[in-house]
Amino acid sequence: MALFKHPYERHTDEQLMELIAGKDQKAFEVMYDRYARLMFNFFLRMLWKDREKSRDFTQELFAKLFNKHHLYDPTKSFKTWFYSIANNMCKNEYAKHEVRRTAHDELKRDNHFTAGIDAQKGMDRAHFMERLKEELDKLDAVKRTTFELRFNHEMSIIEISEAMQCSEGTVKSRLFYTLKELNGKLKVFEGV
Amino acid sequence: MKYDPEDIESLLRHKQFSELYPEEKEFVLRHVEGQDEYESLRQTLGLMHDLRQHDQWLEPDPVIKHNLLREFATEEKGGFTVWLNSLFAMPQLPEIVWYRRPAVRYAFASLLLLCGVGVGIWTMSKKDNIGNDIASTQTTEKNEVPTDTEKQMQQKPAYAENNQPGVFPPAPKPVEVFVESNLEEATDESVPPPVVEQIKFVAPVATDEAPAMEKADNDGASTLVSKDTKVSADDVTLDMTTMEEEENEKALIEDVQNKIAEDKATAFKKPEALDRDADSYKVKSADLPQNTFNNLTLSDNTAPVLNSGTPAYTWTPSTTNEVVTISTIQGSNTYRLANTANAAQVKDVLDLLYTAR
Repeated sequence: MALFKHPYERHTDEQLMELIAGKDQKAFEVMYDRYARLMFNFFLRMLWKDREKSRDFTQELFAKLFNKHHLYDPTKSFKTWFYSIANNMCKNEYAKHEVRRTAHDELKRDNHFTAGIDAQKGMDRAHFMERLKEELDKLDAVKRTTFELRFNHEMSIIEISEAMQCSEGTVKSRLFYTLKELNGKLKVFEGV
Repeated sequence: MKYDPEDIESLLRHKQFSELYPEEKEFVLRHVEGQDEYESLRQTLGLMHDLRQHDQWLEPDPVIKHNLLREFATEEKGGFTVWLNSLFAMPQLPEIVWYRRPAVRYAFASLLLLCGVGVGIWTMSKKDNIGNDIASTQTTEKNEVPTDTEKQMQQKPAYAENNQPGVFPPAPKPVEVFVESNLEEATDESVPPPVVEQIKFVAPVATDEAPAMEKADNDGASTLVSKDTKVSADDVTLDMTTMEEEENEKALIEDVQNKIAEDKATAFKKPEALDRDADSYKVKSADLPQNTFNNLTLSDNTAPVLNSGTPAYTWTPSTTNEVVTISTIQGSNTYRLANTANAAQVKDVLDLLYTAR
């Protein structure tokens, strides 16, 4: 009966945040169910497919949710605020390590991406996708984040600009030139 | 026209190079080398959008949620305990506060709605009762301030002249009360009190053309029947509205009652039975049904003999014809009906005419 149905699923993110600020555990659970998968896979992509690190980052991100809820501006979008926290966590992590060398080494060890690419034989679609992911992982953190938020998380230019704390024009330029760069690297797959 | 770099993505997504407008081509060629690169970018972009569907997203480890909820409960418990321990010991709050449950909210809202409806109904009924009380109230307080009775005062009948200006005329007492109280004092035990209708009819009949009522006795019978107590039409000005008519009627009745009381009228006395002359018992042939009798002639001068309990005629059925014998002071005459079919009808007429009253 709808009268007794829990209303939290119908709340917006901003409403749930208000409840979480009031120590509402159920609201926190609903918020976790909404964003846990998204953020976990975001961290997976941004942190070189490191599941352990992604799990830690996900837990830390949601812990900040109820510990740092006072830092959230209710007038702004929760989604962009949440992604900005995740992005900052990744940037801090990049600063600790040498990102590109580590990413390249991780890719070599991770069989998840080694798919026996053979450009001369003509790749099928699946192999193209795998190669695309590899190239994405080779991008620098900023471009990769922009690309990830745009095409995997389907965020708008405005949302990406708020999450990454940059202008919309910057986001657009990054996307376009990232596309050109990837296109240049994947030219061998033309016609796939 | 100034294009936005984002528009390139939109153009790549929706249009082939050959479908671009000239101004769009001009814009695109500022950022790409040519049609080949444009089409290549378009293909890559399409694959980018397919990347999400192709990519199998992983589910987060359930232990993450478990750890988080445990940490959340610890955080909540600490603050809550600190606050409550300062007052009194209570068990930990349930997951969901009872007043936040939708069932409780809906029940409370329904209760409020019912209370509001109940209050509204009670208020409306109270107003109705007040209206009824006002309608039935017959107050004689002199301090009552008339509302819009100015007009009524102007049109009030003569009886109201004695009242002080600005004061409602005294409400007439119920007729029933008058009848019962006055008659109990002086009513002859053998004389039934008059019905209310007799008194009430005084007012409408109170015109100059009204027939005079039967006079009472010389010893001062009820002035009700006296012409002196007749209320003329000049005194009574009847409004056309029903309410005013009723009020005036009641006022007239009260006036009559007052006058009777002032005259110290005796109880209403039924007049004695009047002697009826013999003429009233005359049977006129015109009263009989037509073509009833053959050769039946009754003169107007014939009068049957009054005999208490005995009809003034006798009806003798016969085998062939109905024979009617009518006894008069001159004697009795026998009449034979020609048409027996009308015998019963004739008999009824004779009963009416000849029965001693």
